[in-house]
Amino acid sequence: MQNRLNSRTKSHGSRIVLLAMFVVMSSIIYVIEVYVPVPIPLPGFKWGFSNSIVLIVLLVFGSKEAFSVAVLKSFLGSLLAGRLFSPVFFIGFTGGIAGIITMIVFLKKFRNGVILTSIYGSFINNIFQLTVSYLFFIKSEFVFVYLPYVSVIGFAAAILNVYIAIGGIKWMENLNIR
Amino acid sequence: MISMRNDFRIGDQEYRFFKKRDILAYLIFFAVIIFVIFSFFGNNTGDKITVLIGGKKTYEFDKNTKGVYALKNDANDFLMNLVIEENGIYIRDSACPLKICEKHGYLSRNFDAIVCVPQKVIIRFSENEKIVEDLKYDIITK
Repeated sequence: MQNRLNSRTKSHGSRIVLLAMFVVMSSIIYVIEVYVPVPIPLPGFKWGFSNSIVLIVLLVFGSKEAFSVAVLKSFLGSLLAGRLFSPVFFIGFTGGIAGIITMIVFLKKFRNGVILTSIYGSFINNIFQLTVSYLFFIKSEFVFVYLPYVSVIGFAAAILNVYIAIGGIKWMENLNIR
Repeated sequence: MISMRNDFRIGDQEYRFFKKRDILAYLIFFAVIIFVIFSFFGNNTGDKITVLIGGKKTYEFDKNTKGVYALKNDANDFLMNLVIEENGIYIRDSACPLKICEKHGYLSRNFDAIVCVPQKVIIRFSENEKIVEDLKYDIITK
């Protein structure tokens, strides 16, 4: 029973199809989030619920696949939102890459808990976004004034992402998805 | 089989929501946030309103100088109007297409700030610092 999901995703073809679906799903959530109001009016700041899909891929498939989905999600999502290669894209993209690398290290190397992994993924993502804003756009360290705000909101969103991801994995099991 | 207990398995991998070893990392997380809060807000009396454009302090207003001030960059391009009222500030007529700075709304607390990435503008309450030399006040109404 416990190996059910892995045995179903063993076939190379079905893995590719599933990963493509996850890229599309996360990109759609990414685009929807662009239009969802956030408590902090900061360019590029989103709730980050598309990371729940990346977390599903990290838990079910592995590090390389999760990294690929995170990168493709940023490109496809930004393209669909009309923000590709804009300042907001570069801020979000570098944050997203830093976030997924952090999650991989925390979950696969340090073997930390899933909730801490998600929280640190969000936290490092936010730190990188603010750092890129500081280095290339705002050029004032005062941009880090937002760190406490985005960290607290990211903390809540990261915990929710874990439960969304676990729910998604259960849903995949129940639907017998191959 | 996945359950909502602390531990669960996916394939041949076993995961946990929380682990004891996570406690240190949680403490570091909160310590960083508290450090940032004290770094930026610890001694801020909020007597002044400082405007940084491209990282350079370009305007500084007294909190009591009510009026509407046009903010411009070095190339003299109009960026936005800063409105200073009795109890706070807000932005209107932003030249930025995203108009995110206008969405900040009415700010009055010392730790509030307005950040506009596309126009590289930061507006914040600050402590009583010495006035910069090249202030470019452009009062529209008062």
